[in-house]
Amino acid sequence: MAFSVRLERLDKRFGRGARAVHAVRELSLEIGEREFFTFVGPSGCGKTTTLRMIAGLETPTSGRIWFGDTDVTALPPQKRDIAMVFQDVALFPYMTVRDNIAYPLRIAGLSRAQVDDKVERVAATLGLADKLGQKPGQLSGGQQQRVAIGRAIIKEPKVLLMDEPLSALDARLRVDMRTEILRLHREISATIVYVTHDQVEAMTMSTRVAVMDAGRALQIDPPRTLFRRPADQTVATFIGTPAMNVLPASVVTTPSGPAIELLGQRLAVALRHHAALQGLKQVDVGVRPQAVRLVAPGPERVRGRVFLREPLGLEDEVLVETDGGARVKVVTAAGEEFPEGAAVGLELGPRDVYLFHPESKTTICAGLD
Amino acid sequence: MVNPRAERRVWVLGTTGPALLFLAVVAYLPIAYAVALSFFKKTAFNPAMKWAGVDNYRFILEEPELWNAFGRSVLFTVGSVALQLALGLVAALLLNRAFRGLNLVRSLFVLPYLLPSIVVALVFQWLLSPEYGVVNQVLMQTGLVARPINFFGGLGTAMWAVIGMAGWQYGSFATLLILARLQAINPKLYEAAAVSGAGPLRAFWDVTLPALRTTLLVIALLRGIWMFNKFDSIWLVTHGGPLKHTETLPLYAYRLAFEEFDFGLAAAACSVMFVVLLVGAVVYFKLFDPTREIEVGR
Amino acid sequence: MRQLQAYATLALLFVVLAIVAFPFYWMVLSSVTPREALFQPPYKFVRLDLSLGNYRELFFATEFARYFVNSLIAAVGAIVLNVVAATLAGYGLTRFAFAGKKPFAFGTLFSYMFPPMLMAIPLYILFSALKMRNTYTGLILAHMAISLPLNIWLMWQYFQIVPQSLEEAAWVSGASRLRALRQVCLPSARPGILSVAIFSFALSWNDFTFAFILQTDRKMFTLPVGLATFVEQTGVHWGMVMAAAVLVSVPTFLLVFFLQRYLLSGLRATG
Repeated sequence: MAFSVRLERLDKRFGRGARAVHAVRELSLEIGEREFFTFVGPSGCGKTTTLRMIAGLETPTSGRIWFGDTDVTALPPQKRDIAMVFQDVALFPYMTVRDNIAYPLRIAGLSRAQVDDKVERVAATLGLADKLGQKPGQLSGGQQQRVAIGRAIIKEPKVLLMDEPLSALDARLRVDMRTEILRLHREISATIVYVTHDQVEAMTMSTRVAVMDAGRALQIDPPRTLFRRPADQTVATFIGTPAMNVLPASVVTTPSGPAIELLGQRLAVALRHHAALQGLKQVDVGVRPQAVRLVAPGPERVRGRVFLREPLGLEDEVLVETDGGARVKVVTAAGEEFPEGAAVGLELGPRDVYLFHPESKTTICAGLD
Repeated sequence: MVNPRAERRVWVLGTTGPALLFLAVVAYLPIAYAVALSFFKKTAFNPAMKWAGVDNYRFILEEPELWNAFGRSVLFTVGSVALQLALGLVAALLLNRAFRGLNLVRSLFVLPYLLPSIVVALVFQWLLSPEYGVVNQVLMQTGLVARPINFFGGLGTAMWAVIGMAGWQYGSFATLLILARLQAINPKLYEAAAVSGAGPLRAFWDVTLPALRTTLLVIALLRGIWMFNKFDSIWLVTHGGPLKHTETLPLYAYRLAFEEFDFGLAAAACSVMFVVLLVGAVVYFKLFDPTREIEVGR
Repeated sequence: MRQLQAYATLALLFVVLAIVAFPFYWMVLSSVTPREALFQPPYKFVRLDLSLGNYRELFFATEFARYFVNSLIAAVGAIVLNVVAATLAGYGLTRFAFAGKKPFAFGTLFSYMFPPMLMAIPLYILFSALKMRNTYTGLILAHMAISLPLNIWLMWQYFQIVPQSLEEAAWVSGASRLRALRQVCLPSARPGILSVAIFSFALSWNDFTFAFILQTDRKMFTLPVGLATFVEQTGVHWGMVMAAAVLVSVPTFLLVFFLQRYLLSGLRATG
């Protein structure tokens, strides 16, 4: 049975005094049994440090880690019943694939016969059956990573940790391996804790994602929730490609309540959000490129000129420079309408507009409706 | 449950301890002992040691012998290092082209460095022997000299012969180091120079030499320290002669210890050598900070 | 003009090569020259009347074999102690964070610059007092003085390249730190260890200064010292001396050539 993983005010500082790096700041969260939980964020956000603390490879400065009901904070990695796949694969170069995969079982003292049987089964699952006698150096990057995964799952760990396992592989391979890992998750009953800087990976594979920045978890939610209801501007701009457009706007008072004035256009705000806008003069407005529509210029629409149009196949990425000088990125169906230089109007649906607090960056409302 | 803190301490001490212990015992202890001994009067005949204060230092520093030896050390050092750099530079420049057999030639160049000093000494003695040496034979046959030259035994020639020998032994190694650096120079730089109008000589001055500057300096400094302190090569071919003309500082210290049997004086001479070494090391570390190569921060 | 330049370069190259190679050639040639021919100039540069008489004499008429054994024991001892101390130190220095690394680096490098002569005299006095002169232990320790600093440096740099994730993978698989060191770390460090072994061998085998000053008993002479006495006592039988010179040079050459890949990486590290 897999374990749940609970982090209780986990804190990690590197170095001492004024020059200390505060990698993880009092992080508390709970990962459920058999979840596929991903930590995602830019470099230096603390995600790898957190993973290594769960593994026991780093000692927390303060805080505790629980696997199920057991406090494992003081346990060394050997005793935590975990398995880990590393970013640089870390296969033992002088051992065969078979010996690499068998390693954890050999340490546990199993006999050759018992081990061989399991190794063969794992190898078959991962498509490595014919590579058992070779050395890691003879395998391709993708095969090596699969061997590393084999070594990890052979001991049927309760918690499987993966530290950016796909970042060293090329794009196409990465997509294939994502499917493999998902399939693996279905087959073995382990809790998977995954770290990546690639938000596409995070979004496609996880049950829940923790978006981290500067040592803190900004939001922990299932992928769809992160996309539709980001907790703040950092999360909103991190999740989703291309990144969400963020533009400054002012709050104006109208007879029917506060409204948003963006790029010369007035947007109405639904009643339920009026209280949240109380006292604010400025807001940051966020709208995803896919949610902006290119239409003929006209009144009641933001006016601008197409600055750049990049064909991406079925879609085009269009950069529009508004009359006010702001740049808005739009993703639209490929077509001949509105080539570069053409005048254009932008249409925003109220549902797709996000409002962020200009100082704290938190989301005031997701959608104006 | 073993205390992780204590366990870590055991690991740190256990791994670095042996090396530290050895270094302390075989490298630093003798030096400290020598410095301490230099303040005593101790000869090989008398087991007792008598405090002498700075008498030993006063003696050797007032005697011309130490200064002569020092001067010869400087001459030997400068001469052999210059020769090594010259040979190294010329050979490296000549070898700096891809040709078949380059690896074989490179292997050839590493050989002299691998030879024991005794072998180099013997071979050169044999080569330069006035009665049986082939060099003298060739010199006479080609009419360059009328009588054979006593290289290691002649008053005017001994030091130069010794310098030449050291130059041969270490110059070829310098070639390898300089060659490695030369081959790392971006060939595009030469193209840029040519396109800008620079001829081969100018290109050498503007592109090659600046790139070599650090390598040459490192070789000069390191080899300088080694040559200054060299004992075996010189002693084996001349024993310091003729008439002490090749007695450098290390040979002087040896003579004090094993021919005049005054260990106190020898220790003082060693301490003087150590001070010179210290100065050289400080210069070297200040200029290059070789500890930078190693991650000492973690 | 360019053609002339090319020829001149080639000629110069040959001159340099000749200067470097000639002593070796002469050494080997003289060693297989029969005794009678050696003392009758003029000397031929190429000869056909080769003989192994010098080598035969070397083994049967002198104590060469004994010196060879002494040198071998000293070298092997130096190799073993160096490898153990340097490998452990390199591991500890790269895997653990603790204070004092910079002074350690400085101290190590600095002691590498100590010349043998500087230490030989104090060691002589020290060992005399401890009755350690004319022992293998004393000589091995003395040899460590010149080789250990360099080897520590080598292994320190080398372990920085062995990724720690290998050991971490072993730990996560259940192996203790000691076991991971043995099974995973050491095999990956093999090239570095071999470099250390080669350096230790060469420095010990070639050493004259320490062996000369510390070993005064004939029976404990190493090859370099023994060779030096040949010249003084046998009235200079150069053929035999050259034969001995060849034999003394050969082990280091063999070692280097068969393992030169590892040596080059070591040399790059020290410059």
